[in-house]
Amino acid sequence: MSVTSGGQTSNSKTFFVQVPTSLGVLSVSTIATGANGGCTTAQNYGIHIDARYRVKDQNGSAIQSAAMAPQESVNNSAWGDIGPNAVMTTAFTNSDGTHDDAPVGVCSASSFSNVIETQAVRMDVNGGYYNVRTNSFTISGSSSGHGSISNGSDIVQTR
Amino acid sequence: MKTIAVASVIALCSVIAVSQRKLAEDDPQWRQQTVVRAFHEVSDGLSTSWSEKYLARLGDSAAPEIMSYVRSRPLSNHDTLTPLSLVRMSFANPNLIRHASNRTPTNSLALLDYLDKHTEDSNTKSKIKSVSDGLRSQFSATRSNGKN
Repeated sequence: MSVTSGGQTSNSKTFFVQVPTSLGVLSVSTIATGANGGCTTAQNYGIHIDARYRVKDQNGSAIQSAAMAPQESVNNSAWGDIGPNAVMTTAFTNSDGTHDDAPVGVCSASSFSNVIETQAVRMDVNGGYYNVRTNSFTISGSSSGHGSISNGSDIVQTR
Repeated sequence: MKTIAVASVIALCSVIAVSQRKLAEDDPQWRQQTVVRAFHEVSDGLSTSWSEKYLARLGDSAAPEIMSYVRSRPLSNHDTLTPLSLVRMSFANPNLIRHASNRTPTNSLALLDYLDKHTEDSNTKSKIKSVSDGLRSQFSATRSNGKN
């Protein structure tokens, strides 16, 4: 960009506009049975996790902003906010651009296997939407207190 | 001074944009989709984190959608237990309910009354009463806390 004033043009200056482009996984942890967001003792087969993400730009650098609202569409349903949830107190990212999707998973009173849930994630930035990730989760619960969840890449958790 | 004024206007616009975000919970189609999805999952003995979270945000506004779905199909005793679970899930965490008005279980109690009138099974009736009593006591506790 350059500025022209009084017939004179300044040197040009390049600006880089960060656009939400992807989500990086910072950590994945199991939510304990009975804890906020965890499976209950009555439905203790399966697993609920807390997945912490960081929003990245086109260059893979973190976007440090609290003005992004993570949204999801599960199995092609209409879009809804990921937060507030068991960890997030608002619909928006933290000031460092991170957020917790918690809980994520399936619980049951009996065993189940290979439940597939496809979660598309986008960022709402003042009404502009940016697709950042798609998780295809496979979730199982083999016995009481045990379960697994995997997206086949960077989210793999068992208990 | 001019810079401060412009920055203030931008900040104000951002705040207005944030506060005017359209919530999925206000979309009747989204509510219906959420309830139908949860109904099938619970009928299958599953509880997904997504249905739990979405219903917990709806509170009392889930009840008309549950009622609508229940009325669209013949009810078995098993089917009666499923809407009961959905009502429980809708009030699982009152702090998550998006609109304060949906913390009052008016429609949910009407739904429970409807379910009670449409079942003869004493075990099911007992469970309906338990959920109904739970909602009433939860609501009166919330109201007392609000007054304090």
